[in-house]
Amino acid sequence: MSMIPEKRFWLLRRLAKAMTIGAWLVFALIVVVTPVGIARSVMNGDKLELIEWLKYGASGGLIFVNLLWIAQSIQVILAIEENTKQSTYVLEKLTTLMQQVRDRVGEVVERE
Amino acid sequence: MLDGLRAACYPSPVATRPPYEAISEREIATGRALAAVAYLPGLFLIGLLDAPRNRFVRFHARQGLVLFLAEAAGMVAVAIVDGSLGRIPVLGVVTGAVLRLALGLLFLAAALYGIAKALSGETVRIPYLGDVADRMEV
Repeated sequence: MSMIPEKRFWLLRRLAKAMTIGAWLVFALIVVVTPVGIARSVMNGDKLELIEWLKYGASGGLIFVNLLWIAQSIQVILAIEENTKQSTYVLEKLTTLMQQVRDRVGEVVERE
Repeated sequence: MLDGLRAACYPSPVATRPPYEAISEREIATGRALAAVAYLPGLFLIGLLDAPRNRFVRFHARQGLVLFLAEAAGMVAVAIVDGSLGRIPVLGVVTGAVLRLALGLLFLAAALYGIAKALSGETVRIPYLGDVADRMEV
């Protein structure tokens, strides 16, 4: 493997981390701001404002879910890639080992 | 004779892409992750910019771009439905919700299919979207 793919994965990892942080920031903002807005609109008895606040909360929730889904997908893809690389390595090693064992067995059989 | 006929039909040389079967194992091995990431919304750019010569990544990035454009078109369509049919008291809201759910599931399924195929190192066209992607000059 060359250096360039590793750098790319580093970029993707950073992107996933930034997206996760962004998602939780959006979530925190929604959790802090929306209940206050809803409570105020209920106390004022303003139905239109209440609906606006509910829409605000729902759109924030959607942004949170979308960001988290993309970040988690990147991490899953990178994990699968890493797993594939390692399993290919292990498979190669096992094949070599098996060949060595076969050669040894052949030698022993010839000697006997 | 066939060559002569073809030359008569196409007086100017037709640009042809190398067949996808010719993609090397090395290209697949190095570009698998980038190809899979290309199906996430907007991330096809990483594949196109980072590995412009890798045909495997380019194939999936092109499909990712078409999927992204289709998602954007779907969102516009939903907004239009919300603005027109959505004004009908019950039916409009239900229609909008069903349309949104159906489109969301459809695009999610297409993205997951593409990711799975990219991770397993295959160059499989997503139905309909793959044909559009093949005609794109990216």
